[in-house]
Amino acid sequence: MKVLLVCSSGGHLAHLTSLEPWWSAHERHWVTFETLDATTKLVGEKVTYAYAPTTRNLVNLVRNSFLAVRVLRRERPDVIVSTGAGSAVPFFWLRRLAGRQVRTVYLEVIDRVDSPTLTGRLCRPVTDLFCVQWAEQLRWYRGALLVGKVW
Amino acid sequence: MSTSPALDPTDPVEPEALPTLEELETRTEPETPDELATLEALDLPDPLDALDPFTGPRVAVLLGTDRHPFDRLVSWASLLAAEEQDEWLVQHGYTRWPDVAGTPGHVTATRMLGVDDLAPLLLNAEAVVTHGGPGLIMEARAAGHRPIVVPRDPARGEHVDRHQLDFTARLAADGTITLVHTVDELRTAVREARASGRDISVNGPQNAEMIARFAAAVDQARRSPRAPLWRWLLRSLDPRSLDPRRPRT
Repeated sequence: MKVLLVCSSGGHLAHLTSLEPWWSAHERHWVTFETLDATTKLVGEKVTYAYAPTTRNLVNLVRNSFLAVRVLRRERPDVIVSTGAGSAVPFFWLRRLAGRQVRTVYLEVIDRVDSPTLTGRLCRPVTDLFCVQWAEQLRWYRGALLVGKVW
Repeated sequence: MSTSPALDPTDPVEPEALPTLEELETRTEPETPDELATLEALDLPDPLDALDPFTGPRVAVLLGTDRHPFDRLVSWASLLAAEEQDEWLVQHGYTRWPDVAGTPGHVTATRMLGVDDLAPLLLNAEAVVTHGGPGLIMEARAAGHRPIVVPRDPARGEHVDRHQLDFTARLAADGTITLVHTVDELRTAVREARASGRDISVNGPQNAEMIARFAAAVDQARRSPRAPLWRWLLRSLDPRSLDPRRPRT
């Protein structure tokens, strides 16, 4: 199984790196930002750097969409996993470029309990498996699965 | 007492005639002066030095990678660090460090930390203070700390919205963190954290169950048919899926 892990750096990346016991068993590729924490945490990993910032930034959304087309066609993952933020949106909506049987998995971040995230809402229609960490987050995302906290 | 010919007590002591390993394992006398001199000449490193807990900063204050300024926490950290003599490290990110020239020698102020600097810092520090970001709280907990947290307040321009306030209130309620709101509370919390130190049995996220559930769910999703287009259309056309305030049943 090949996994594509898409995230912003900082807390979003920390969520995905804490899943190491899971992804270390699979072939994988990362898409994140080129910041100090990302470059030092992902030493030895295969990484493509996306355009930042993505918060309410249409120019980078367009750039990341072109990036998503290239990366999905080149890597052809079986599973796309993301915790957000904005860089995930084009990867989820263009997922079929990776192959017709690709599955998308979204893990909502641990610090948004009282409101949903914009990325979560934008990705929900095209997510096969939507996971949340708190029971209170289930009310924002129909059909989501409570998996528990990443720590 | 060894009775082999090499260590006959009537012979003059020869520095080369050091005991064999078997003799060392059974002997009960201390080293002779010659043996001690030989050992000292070898200048072997003391393995206990690597375990010295008193290396590196005693207190770490971490503001993360958020682009909003957080002058309140940086000024509190600078004030409290100056009150102490022990080493402090403040990672101030995108916030300006208030007084570069007047920073005492035992305080290190840095903008960003890579994982190679953060990991040993967390293992050696007695107390960790963070802003309300989940990444740093997660890292501190993975190193066995109960982080002291000062959440960013949007009313002071420290963040985009109140989610750090809401999130940290929940964590404080279940005892995951120590939440502080004033510099005096921070001072007390740091003193108490330093007195108790970190839980050395914790090494990494304690998330085995969550990972097992996640892995099983991913395998299940791969085996299941993907969500059909009509369900996607219904979900995205449904106005309720876009309105966060409407409660779900």
